[in-house]
Amino acid sequence: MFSCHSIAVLRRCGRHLTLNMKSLKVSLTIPTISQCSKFATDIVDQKKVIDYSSVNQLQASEAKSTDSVPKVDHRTVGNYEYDDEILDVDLLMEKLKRDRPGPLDPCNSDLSHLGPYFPATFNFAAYANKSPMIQKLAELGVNFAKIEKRNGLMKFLLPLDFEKDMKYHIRFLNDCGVPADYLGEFLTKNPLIFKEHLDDLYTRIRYLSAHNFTPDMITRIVMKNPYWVMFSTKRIDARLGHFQKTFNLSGKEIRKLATRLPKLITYNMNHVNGNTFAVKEEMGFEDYQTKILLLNHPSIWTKNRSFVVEVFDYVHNIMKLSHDAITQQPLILTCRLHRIKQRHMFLKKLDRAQYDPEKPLYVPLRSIVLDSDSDFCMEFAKMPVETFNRFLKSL
Amino acid sequence: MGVTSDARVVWQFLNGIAAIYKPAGYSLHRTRNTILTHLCRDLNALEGRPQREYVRIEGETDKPMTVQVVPNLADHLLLTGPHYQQKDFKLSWVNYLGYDTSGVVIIGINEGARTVMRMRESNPTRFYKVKGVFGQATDNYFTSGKIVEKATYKSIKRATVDAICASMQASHQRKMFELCGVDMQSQAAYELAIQGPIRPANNKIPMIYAIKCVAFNMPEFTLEIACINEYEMYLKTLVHQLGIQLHSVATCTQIQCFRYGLFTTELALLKKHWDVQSILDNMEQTQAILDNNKYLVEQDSPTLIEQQI
Repeated sequence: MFSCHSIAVLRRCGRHLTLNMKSLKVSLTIPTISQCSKFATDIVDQKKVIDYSSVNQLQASEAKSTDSVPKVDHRTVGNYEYDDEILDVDLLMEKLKRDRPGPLDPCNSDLSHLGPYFPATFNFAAYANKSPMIQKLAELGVNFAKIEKRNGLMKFLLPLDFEKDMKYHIRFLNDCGVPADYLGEFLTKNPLIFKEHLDDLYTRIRYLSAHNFTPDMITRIVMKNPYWVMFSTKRIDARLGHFQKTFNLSGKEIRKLATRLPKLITYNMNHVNGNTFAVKEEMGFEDYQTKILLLNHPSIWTKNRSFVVEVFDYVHNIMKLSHDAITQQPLILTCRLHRIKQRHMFLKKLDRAQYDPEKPLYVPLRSIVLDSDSDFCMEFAKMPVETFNRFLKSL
Repeated sequence: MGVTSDARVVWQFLNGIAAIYKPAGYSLHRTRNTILTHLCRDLNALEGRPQREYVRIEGETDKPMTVQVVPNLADHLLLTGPHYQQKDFKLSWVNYLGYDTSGVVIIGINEGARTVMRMRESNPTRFYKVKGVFGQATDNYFTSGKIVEKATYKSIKRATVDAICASMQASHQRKMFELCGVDMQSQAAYELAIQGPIRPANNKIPMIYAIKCVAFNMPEFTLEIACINEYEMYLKTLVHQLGIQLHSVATCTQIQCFRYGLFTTELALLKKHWDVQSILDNMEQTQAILDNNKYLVEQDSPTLIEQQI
């Protein structure tokens, strides 16, 4: 109860001081408040009863203290001092008002270090003109607008210092062979790299070179999958081992797979295993076919499982393509179903749906997947693209 | 027509009504999303507004300070994000087509969203092509569902289908007068009736004006339906009802809205043409139709009007 009261008193003093702040040196506020707290502890130590009159005395002495600006250090505020002295508050206030500089008086001291605090903000842009870190990263091409959409990253990035926390990580990326114009994109995708220890990062690269990945392969892996370097060597090793065991891959093949689609190695393993099941059991590919699919078109494993199965169902059961034919041209499995459907139905209508390379009027699956509408119509459907458009409007 | 590479100019013109061809198996919300993504992509590829400037006043306050004008980094594209984003657009549709329905959808972009409301209230007739197949019934009345019933369809002849369609149409026309809000025996009802078919007073009640079998190729058949206030499930159940009335079962396989008021599929944009240039061109065409037919945005007659495309 007692201490609460004294804190209220101190608050009052604090407010008083801050009101006068403009006329004082700024450094004054802090020692005065600290002295006030010292005063409070004194009071608490001595368990002295304080009444409202002493509050007035305190304010008066504070007012006095503001009076003698150059002698800041001499103002020792001991509580006993107040008991002895009798101060005329009104007189002191008068004097204070007379002496303190007005708001329009010229100020001769350097105030450039003063400024408003940063208000709470949702984006980096508020800090952009002040923070050298943001300026440097923006020069590299980091897209802050994308980063700030992700949870928690702003809070992590803003306190970082470019020279101290970022420079060496960027040098590490440079050592890995990531070209300078790609750094921005890399850091946009994975700003969390600044969280990792440099030693860990170099160890992870050393792991790769120890497993006979050439520098070009390492560069590609780091560039294509910015999150690769976040994974510990133990995890990467376990995952590479898992792929090697599941699909019966040789060392050379696993290196080829990791280089071709580095994302797959660090992908959600439940998803990958689900897709393996889909390819082997739901679609019914043999083991050797699965292996060919994985090496030639690994992105089947990163696509939505039901989507791939649906496409396979259409290609196999309606377009009547065998497993072998699909294995040879696996691109079709990751093509959008409506595109395949539209083109197949159009060809069917023209009686040109012939996907066997050994017979005449062969339509390669590749052209269904990759060609533009006009090229496809001209070359394989032998129809103007307008006819195709009219056909699409009848679906 | 001028050529510009300034996104701000293009944005100014991006107000109005456009006709879109919605594919089946693609929800209208997704359609909206795709169109907006494409519009943003195209606008951001154009030349945007220049980066703003920033007055930097530096130095000690008791000495002469330096004042310089520098480009404002806070307004850089890397900090602000792309200039045109999906949330900047208004986009709403006049007619709602369900997931399995394909066909013409009229959308309003930005200022056009106001016209959309008035067009919706004017309630024009829609024309559907509904395909069905005899012999099977599914749990969701559409071909995508699980087959729950099978039946023979040998006995069904073209003439019986036509007869059922005609009776459906007749019963709907009777209902039309019952629901118009006037006493069937009154003079007012007679005067309405001599003007031809009328719109229902309530815009929640589906109303079929014409239903006709246009193709009959056992077991498949195609119906053409002119109606108002319909919805996807209503058309699906209509096919189902038809099957039952023919002592068999039928499932709907395709629903296509090939005409909405005066807007036909000829005008509508295919998915591959959902970009700024095509949409702007399309807006011009639809605006011409709206200008020539004022009743499309302000309906004052309860009866259907003879339409010319």
